[in-house]
Amino acid sequence: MSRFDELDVDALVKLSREGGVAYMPTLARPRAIDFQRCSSNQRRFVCDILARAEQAASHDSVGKGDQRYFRIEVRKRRDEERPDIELSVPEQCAPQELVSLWLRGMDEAPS
Amino acid sequence: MKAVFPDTRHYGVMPPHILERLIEHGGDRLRHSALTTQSLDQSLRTSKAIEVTALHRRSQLNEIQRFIYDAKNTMELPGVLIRQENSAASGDIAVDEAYEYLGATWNFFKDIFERNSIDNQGLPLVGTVHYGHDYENAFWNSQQMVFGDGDGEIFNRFTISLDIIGHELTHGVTESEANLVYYNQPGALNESISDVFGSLVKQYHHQQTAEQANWIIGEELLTERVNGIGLRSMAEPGTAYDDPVLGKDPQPGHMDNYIETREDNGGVHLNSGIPNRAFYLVATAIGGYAWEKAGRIWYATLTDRQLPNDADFQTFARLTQTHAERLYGRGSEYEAVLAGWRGVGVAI
Ligand SMILES: [Zn+2]
Repeated sequence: MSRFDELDVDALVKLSREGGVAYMPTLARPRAIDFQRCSSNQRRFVCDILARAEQAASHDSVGKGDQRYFRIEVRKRRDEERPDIELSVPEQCAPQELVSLWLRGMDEAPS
Repeated sequence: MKAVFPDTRHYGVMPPHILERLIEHGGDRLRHSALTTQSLDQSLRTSKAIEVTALHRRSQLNEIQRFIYDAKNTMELPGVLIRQENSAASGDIAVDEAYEYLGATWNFFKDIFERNSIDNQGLPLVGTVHYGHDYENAFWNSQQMVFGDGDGEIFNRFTISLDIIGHELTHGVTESEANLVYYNQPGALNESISDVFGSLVKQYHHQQTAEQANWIIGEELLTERVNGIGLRSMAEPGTAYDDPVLGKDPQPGHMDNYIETREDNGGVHLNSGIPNRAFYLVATAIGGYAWEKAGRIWYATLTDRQLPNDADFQTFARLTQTHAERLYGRGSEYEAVLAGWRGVGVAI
């Protein structure tokens, strides 16, 4: 069990890769995963990745000295202005599944 | 554990879930660039934290000590030692650029500010090149500098620009001095200081006056496929690139356009355009070599214990005013500092 297991169809997850000396907003490639458009299997797939990402997340500041990081915003209700959960995962600690989710979205998710 | 690098050739099609402008602009270059990021992270996740600095003895003399490593396209740091002080060129252009440009940066801080390396106590300069696969970044990790090869589509190798190497080394200097918090305005100051001294290293190397310099950061870094002249323009923030794939350079050059965002640590690489332009205005108003006076004022500010680690633009600006007066009295230099900050909307 993780705190992401309670996310339901109203949830929205945003994921981007930020920072770096050559930071350009376009290269952050922001991605949003709308749980309303996911099957329950796909939601579980994403929640498992979030739980793993949380283990790798940094509680200290990230990004210092141009080190890149993944930033994850989780909203339990998609139209909330502020995220309920925000995670920063240093690039060198990021689980492969998180990188895949950022790059290829739900391509590797079950149907 | 063996590192696994997925074969990126199989990821042929852009996935349907990508948001925002990628849908409009996602061309081959961007796709290629995105895919290359994939192959990075396996080995690093398993790498142990090696105390890189413990591997290198400090110079007892006031001499430079360089160690250039090759990560051989993994994310293991520091990698394999290829070249150290007084050894011959390796023939690997990234290794030799890192060696030369770290040397140029060290010389600049020594010649102009009598600073003995990053920490002013002779810290050896450790750099790793060929980090990751087509890695599009360079960074300072509090122990060493790291340079990627770039993807070849958008970015060239990150050792190619002297000011980028100066930028990264200056992150170490800032960390050992004011240690400005890497968020919002203090973070943008942290970034700007790296651009300022990175640019000064380059200007000093080429013996350019403030008028002769182009004030572009990373001008060799973008490939010819990109419609841009570099990563950032200190003279005219927001004009460095305007490209169908990368979009337009978003840097502001005035407080009226300050970007409030949660991205990029509060826009540290965006809002740095404001103090960058302030420095450019001061340096060009004073004239001559920018490192002689404007650089000296900025360096005195950076190394002043009065500079808090959470300084905002105004706090930093006021200290530059203090140091301008202390160094040069209430003359034209002092007036240039006031006018420079006024020019970007920072009231002293
Ligand atoms: Zn930087």
